[in-house]
Amino acid sequence: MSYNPADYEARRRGYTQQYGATGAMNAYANFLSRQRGTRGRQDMLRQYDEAQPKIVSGFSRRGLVGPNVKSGVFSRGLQEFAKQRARNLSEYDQGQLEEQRMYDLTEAQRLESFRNQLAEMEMEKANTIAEAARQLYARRMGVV
Amino acid sequence: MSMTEQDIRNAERLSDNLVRSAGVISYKPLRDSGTTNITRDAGPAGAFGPGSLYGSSVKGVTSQQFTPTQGAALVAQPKLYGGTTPTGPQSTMGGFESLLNSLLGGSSAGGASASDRLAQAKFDYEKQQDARKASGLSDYYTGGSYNTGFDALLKMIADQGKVSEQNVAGAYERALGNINQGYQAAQTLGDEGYSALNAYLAANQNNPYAGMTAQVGSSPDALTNYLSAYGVSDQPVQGQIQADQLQAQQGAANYQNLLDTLSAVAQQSAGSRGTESQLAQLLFNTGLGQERAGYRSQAENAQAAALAQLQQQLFESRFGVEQNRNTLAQQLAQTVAELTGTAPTSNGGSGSGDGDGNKPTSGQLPQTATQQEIVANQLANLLAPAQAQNSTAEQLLAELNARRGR
Repeated sequence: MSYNPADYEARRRGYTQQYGATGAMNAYANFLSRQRGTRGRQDMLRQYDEAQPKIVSGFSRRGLVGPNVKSGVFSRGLQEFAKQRARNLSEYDQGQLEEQRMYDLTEAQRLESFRNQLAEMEMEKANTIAEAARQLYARRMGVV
Repeated sequence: MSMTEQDIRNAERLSDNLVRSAGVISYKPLRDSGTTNITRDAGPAGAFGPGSLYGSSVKGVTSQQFTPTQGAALVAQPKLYGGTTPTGPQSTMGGFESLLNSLLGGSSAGGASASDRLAQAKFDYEKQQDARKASGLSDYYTGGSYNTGFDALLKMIADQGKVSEQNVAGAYERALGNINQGYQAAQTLGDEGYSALNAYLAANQNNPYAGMTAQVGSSPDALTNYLSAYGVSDQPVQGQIQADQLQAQQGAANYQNLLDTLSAVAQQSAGSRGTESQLAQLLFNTGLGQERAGYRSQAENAQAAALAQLQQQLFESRFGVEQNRNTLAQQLAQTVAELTGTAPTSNGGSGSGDGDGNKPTSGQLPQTATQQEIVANQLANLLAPAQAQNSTAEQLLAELNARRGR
């Protein structure tokens, strides 16, 4: 076993390049995901906003709401609409949040792996240096 | 033919025999009837020669070689030395006296011939050489001069051993320094790596869920104004919205719980990673320390092995030098003992083993003895009886002169 610093630098460059490449790919994927999530949430809000007048007009055609008219059916229907909107938005946001957590966790694990690779390489290098020192010592003593 | 001329011829033949023979020589006694030969070793050749030989070494000639009548006649003769030199015709003993005078290097008209003096000089020279050789070898041995080279070698080995030991120690110190330097470098490098890791982990706390909170979405519009315009109460709508809000809050709480759980897991993971980094650093330092201990142990073992090998080599070298020294000492002692007949002592004074003034014993010569050694040995063997009787030629002559003076 002989110590060659160039080997370790090449490995370091390889690890770093791989880490950077995968990180960029994941970051872009995360960006796209968040972009999709934002767009989807906006679509969902727009749909609910568009649905609100239709719900009121529907109850109005049936005479359940109007001037000096306020029925319990209308009130429960409107509350149910608000609850459904809040639930869907919460689920959607929770989904987006979990996707973001997954991305963050993946990035953390990827960073951990990258650092582990570098640390292992540094340890291997140190052991290689020590072994080279031992061999040099033995060679100096004429044993090898 | 007169007795004097006969004696001179006999002396000439005797001298020739002395020169030619290194072993046993034969001569006829001057006063003998001619039927008896007296046999002596080569040593006694000097005893019948003139000059200093009689003065120091000739002890083989005793009064027993003469008959009582001849002895009495000799005693009755006028004093040869220290007295008046006879000028007239020699008496019956005059022949022997003349011969003795000639052999002693006297100035009688009938003195030794040139060949006699030459042979005597040669013998004296060889004897002197033997004595010098024995004396030199004895001094060389007893004085310990032969140790000089070996001591120098031992000192060289010891010095080289110190140098080698210092080299081994230096190599060990260098190895230790290298081990410690390598350890410090490796530890610094490893610690820097783990320090960078810890700094990174501290600066990059991996808890991306910490700042996350679960938020609840906004409540939708209850159309209160629209309902009131128609006089309808919005109370049921508000109830619906509150129920949805409560459900959203429960979902957010669940999400927050999830985030908290993930954050806790991330924090535990970060803490575990930090602990893992500390354990890895501790393991690295521990392993590195163990490796350093192992390397140091190897260096210590190598040093011990090198020192052991060095000591072995030094011991072998010293052993070889001491072995050579011992061999040379034995050879010297043996040679001196063969020349002097006395075993030398290594701590004694110098010059005591020349053999001239010692009491030689009739030792056996080795097979490799030289001719000079044989002559010296035979001379010593010949002188031994005379010395045992405490009588020398000089004493004999002194006694003869004393009797003549009476």
